Amino acid sequence: MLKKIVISLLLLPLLLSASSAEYEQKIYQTIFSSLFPQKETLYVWSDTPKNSRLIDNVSLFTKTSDINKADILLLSKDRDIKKQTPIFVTNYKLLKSYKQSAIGGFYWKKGRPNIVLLKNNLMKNHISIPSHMQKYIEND
Amino acid sequence: MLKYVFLLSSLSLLACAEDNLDDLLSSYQQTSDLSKMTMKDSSSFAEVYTRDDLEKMQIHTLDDFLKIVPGIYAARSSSNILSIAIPSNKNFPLSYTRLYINDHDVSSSSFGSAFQIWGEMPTEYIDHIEIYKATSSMEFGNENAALIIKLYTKNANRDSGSKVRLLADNLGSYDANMYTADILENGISYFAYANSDSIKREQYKTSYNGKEYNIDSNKQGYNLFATLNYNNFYADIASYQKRNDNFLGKGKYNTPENGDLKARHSYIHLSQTFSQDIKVQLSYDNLTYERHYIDQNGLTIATPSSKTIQDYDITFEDNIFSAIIEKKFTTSNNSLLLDGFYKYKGFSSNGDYIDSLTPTTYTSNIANSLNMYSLYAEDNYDIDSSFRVVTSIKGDFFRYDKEVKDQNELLAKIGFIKKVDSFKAKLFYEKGYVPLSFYQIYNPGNTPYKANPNLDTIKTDIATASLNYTSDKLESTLTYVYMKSMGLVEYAYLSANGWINSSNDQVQDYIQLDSTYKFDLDNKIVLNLAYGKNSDDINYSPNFEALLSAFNSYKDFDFYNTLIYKNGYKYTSRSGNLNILPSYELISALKYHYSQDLSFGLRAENILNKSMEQAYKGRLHPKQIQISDRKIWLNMEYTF
Repeated sequence: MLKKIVISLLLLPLLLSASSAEYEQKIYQTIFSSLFPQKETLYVWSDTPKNSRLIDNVSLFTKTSDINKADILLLSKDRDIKKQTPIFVTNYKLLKSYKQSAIGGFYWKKGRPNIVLLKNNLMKNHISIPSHMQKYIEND
Repeated sequence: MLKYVFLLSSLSLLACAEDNLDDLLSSYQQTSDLSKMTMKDSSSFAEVYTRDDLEKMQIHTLDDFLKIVPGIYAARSSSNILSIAIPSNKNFPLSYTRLYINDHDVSSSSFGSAFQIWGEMPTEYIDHIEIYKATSSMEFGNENAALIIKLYTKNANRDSGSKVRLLADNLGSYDANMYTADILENGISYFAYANSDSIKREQYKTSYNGKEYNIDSNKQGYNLFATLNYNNFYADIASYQKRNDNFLGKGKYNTPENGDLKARHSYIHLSQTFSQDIKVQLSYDNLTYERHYIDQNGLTIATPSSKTIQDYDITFEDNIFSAIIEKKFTTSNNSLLLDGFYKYKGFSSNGDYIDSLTPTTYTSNIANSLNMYSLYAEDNYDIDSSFRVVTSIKGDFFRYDKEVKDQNELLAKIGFIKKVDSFKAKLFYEKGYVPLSFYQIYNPGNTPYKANPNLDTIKTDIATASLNYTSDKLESTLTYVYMKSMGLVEYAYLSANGWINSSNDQVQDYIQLDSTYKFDLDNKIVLNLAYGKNSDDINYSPNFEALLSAFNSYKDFDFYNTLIYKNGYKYTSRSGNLNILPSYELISALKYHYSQDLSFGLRAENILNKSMEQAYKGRLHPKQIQISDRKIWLNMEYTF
């Protein structure tokens, strides 16, 4: 217990000084390191400059401009993508558009940030869901 | 060694955080507050209230919010209009204030202020609030004021979905709000909000000549707001209407019988940002303000001079058209904003003043209009990464249609912002003025009304100095303000023109200390101390205020507690003196989050029944009435 308190006190300044962008990067890092525990690097293709900056700052991610080499497609726009590569979206509308292929999304809705994982598409891509991520699953 | 401890703690943090995405999401939400994008850091004296603050406080009206802003004493006038005083001073002229909803200035041209209509506006559609004190319009390229309140609405990018919020209190009030927001397939996003409220206030009694009269100050209102966005185009459309009781009214003996205020303000505001940082805004406002006083014992309200009337009926209508264009030039160490705007203000007033004993009806119908042109430039130059110089210059040119002289006003501001380690010092000086409202130009002592053609604007000199200390857990700011007002506009009953410029200058000194200590992202305490002194060396209001607030969360519960202390003072008037006692206003709020989408709240106001008393002069004797009622609000919020 004492150890926890000491660690919390040590961590508090860092928590209070972290920026919104740093939290966003950490959230992506946490989601994808949980979904791909065996991978040390994930090749990510993205469609917007903002997402590219995000990819640059997430240690697990490596940016690729070749969509065929990508492990994950990080999408913010509705595109006619036929590839079977797992798709992760940054808004709710896209999650609906890519209902058949997206493994999940991270976006603002109802005044708060939301993480949603789509069970069937994760299974299609042979991605298992760790227990601490179960609460974000939606049955698509 | 210290380096390794820090590294270790960082790594441990990341490891712990991986275990709890919910904590990360919560931290991300708080650090992503929209105020981070809208706040003008180059302002001399600014405060921000985040969405998280407002939600924990369970604030639902603007006047409730203003009560917890340090150094602003939100009260109500005898005719039930939100009024503002500052420490030690008399009522702060309402035309010193400007209220914005997003980019739109909702001030009335008749009154020079927004509070006559928007004072008790519901705030559920507001995301966060910024207060700029001892300032000028120059940051915002609009009309001038010394206190600017900026309300920013929620938007579809954050709030897609729908929300219902219902509130009720123990006096029988209700406040029902709903909004819905979405981003459509074609990229158009919308946010639409509707409100209906009925706010019941404590009823007071008064008697005169053996008859008892009720003093009511209830309010009913409807508010509609919508915003549309497509790429860099925004359209805000709003309509707010309300009905207020007259409270004490304007009777000689404060014996009102019926009568009310019915007001409506509708506007549309269009904004388009083009490439190369050019922004164009167009807006149109229509306001109506219908005041009806009835008092059989006679109304003291002016006009017709020396005649006794019992029934006073007046309507104001404003039509305002505004066009603003601004262009930004940005380099690595310099930002220059050029801005020009044009405003047309049409004003009309139709009054019927009825002596029901004779019976005789007097009328006064007046109209005027104003073309206002303004040019503005602001430069922020970073001498280095820790030292910024802010300079602004603005010219405002007033051209009235008739009766009032042309006015040309020049404003200038210079400021220095220096950062050293955890400290930030600001020093600002600005020469400004306070625009005249149509209401101040016309003398109600004559029927029909006549303008004072020589009335001039109040000139102001404002200097601010502040020192801020920020560490990971503590933020503390000490601010000093010197404000000199010259040529105050006063109503002189015996003068031919009514409103005149006073030959006396007034100086206000003001000190405010704000300290926030964050235990973590969910728990903080805030201490605000405010002290003011005026050049008359007489306290017209409490000269000292202290607020101690605690914002806390534990599991599914949010807590908010605040204690507001104001010292006492002696109120003097021709009809008698009052000893206004020190006040202790305690507000507590508790919210239970049943789920992410459903929460229930309880907010208790003026728990100690010792809120600040407002003094009202009367012909027989003055009255003192608390500004806050002792109430409990129940609150339910559901998002879907």
